[in-house]
Amino acid sequence: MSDPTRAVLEERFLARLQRLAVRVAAARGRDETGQGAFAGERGDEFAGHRPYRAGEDLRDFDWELYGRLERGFVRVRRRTAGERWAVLLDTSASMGLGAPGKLQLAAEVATALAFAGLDAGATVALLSHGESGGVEAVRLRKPRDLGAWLEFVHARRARLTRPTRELLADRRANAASRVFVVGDLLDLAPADVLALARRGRRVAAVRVLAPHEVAPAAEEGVEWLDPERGERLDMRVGDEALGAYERALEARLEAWRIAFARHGQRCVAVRSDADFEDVARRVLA
Amino acid sequence: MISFERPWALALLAVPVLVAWLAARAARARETPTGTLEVWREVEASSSRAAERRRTWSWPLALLVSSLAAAALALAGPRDHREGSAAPWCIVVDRSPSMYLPREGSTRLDAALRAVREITGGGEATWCVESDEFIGFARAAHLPDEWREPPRGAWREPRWELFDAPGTLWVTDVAPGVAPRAASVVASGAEPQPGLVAELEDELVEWNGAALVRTPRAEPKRRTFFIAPNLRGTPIGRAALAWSRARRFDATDEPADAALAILDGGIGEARPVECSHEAWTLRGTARELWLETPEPASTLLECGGVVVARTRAGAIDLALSEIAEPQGDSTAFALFWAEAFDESTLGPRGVSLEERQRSGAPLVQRGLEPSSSLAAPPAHFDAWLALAAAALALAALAARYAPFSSADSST
Repeated sequence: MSDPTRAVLEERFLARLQRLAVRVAAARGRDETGQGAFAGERGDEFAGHRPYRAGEDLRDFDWELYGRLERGFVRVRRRTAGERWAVLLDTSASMGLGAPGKLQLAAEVATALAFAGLDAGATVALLSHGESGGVEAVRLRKPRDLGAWLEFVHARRARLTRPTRELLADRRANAASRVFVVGDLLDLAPADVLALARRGRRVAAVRVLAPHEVAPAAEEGVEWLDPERGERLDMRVGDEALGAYERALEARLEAWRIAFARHGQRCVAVRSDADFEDVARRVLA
Repeated sequence: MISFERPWALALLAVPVLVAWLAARAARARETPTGTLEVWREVEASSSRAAERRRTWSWPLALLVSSLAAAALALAGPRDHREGSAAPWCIVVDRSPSMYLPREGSTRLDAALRAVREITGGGEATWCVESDEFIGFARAAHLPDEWREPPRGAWREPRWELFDAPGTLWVTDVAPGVAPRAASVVASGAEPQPGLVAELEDELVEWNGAALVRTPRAEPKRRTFFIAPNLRGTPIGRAALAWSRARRFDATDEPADAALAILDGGIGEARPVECSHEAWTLRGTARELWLETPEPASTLLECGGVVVARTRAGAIDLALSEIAEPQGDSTAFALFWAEAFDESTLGPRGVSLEERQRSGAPLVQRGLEPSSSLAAPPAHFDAWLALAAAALALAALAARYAPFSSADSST
């Protein structure tokens, strides 16, 4: 059984990542927009149009086309040269839960997002806490940087108790034009992440929860343990408690979604057994 | 105190303990790490019914464990030695003269008795005094008052080796020469005590801490003797009078002060007796003597299986009331009694030099606690425990399969 506190990006994952790029390129019409499998980002060179989605940067909105077609379109640029993306990877101890582990899916999604940025011509920085407790980073500028990226990801361990706010406050995150926060984000409030959404910076949150956190099973005796604070709660989980839990969790997740939508940003909540391709598509859609 | 016929069976108590542990382990909550503990806390706080506290025990399990425990105890064969837990201490008290010498404002005996509680913890005990062939017992919380007073006559230290047993405490002033194997020892401690060694008729002999000092009396002081009024004028009374003149004793009406007291110690109904000695025969009526004396006593004269005269330090107890003139050798009769009077007469007042020179450190030495060897026949519980085990087992079955226990059965 794999260690849920680690993320391992094997060749199979890389192959899936490659296939994802191809599928997205096909779906988005590579011929129309030029390169950029995930594309859709502002850049220096105009590449085409695509339908407007709520929350998109108003600077890319094509008012001229709207005037003619009465539908919203945004301009798509081929390259985003000089643009910086940042992916903040939560490696708190709670990310080491689940089967498969939350950190595994988070790392896969982070890598997929990074390749989307690379495809869009951006430089992508992956930020997370290191073993020493400080914030560490690796940059992906070109495909050949993949080795360093993978090495960085493989060195992550979900056993820290450092607050995710430290990642949000990092200057590299604040220097990016687009920020993805990937983790369970259980120690954060929506406002903590949305504070980054200023001056046109786009922010997306990917909340990864373990299957037993999303849909726990009824049990006579469960001792819930918070791996970060060590707190415990001994209880009997009956149907009524399950229902109350699911309602409470859904309310919290919904609060995040609403808060992000109000700011024109995106928040996605997924189970750790989800396919990273689906998650990446939902984040970038 | 509870003891067990088959103590090895107590090891079987591990079985119900093991069963209980395994059951508790099986019912123990599964530890599940989660990042959503706060949500669960919210659920718990929002509804007391939604998240009930777990129940790790069930009635059938409790009954089963109790049944197994009762069965193991029944097999072990418990015995309740009812007097065992209250087995009294046997406190052997040294009443030799040195015990009544001063110490710490009272006597060495009192000082030693104060330390007794350290060993026994107080409570009722069997007090014992012994000297020569005499042994006296008393069951009380405290040393009987008459034993707190200096005894009449010369008492020796108890023969400690006779009392070397668990639950026995020796009370003395200086650590005995015999090392106890099981008994405990309390010694008051003693320092050389100058004072009167002997109060003789014509001089006082005292020890000043270094040497004996003899002080002649200006006028000789004669010792006294007492004879019970109903004995005066009888053949024995007349012999006593003749003996006292020969010994230069004065008569007194205070038996406590007398060097010799001839007492009427009979109780009960008088009956005719005839006492035959080698050279004389005495007839009369006699009652029975008091059974107990506060000090060593020995039979002086026995008539037809009835003790009619007894000697002890400073006294002769007579049970004879109506005494006819002795038949046979009257001189031998008088000498017989004179020798008895001599034997019983107290020596001169004072404490011997050897006793006054005794010294030693205070001592509290713990030996073995009282055992239950003198316990009453033990009570048996095997059958009751076996019955309880069977009843508990049946109750466990009933609780397991009864319709109303369906909720429990899932645990």
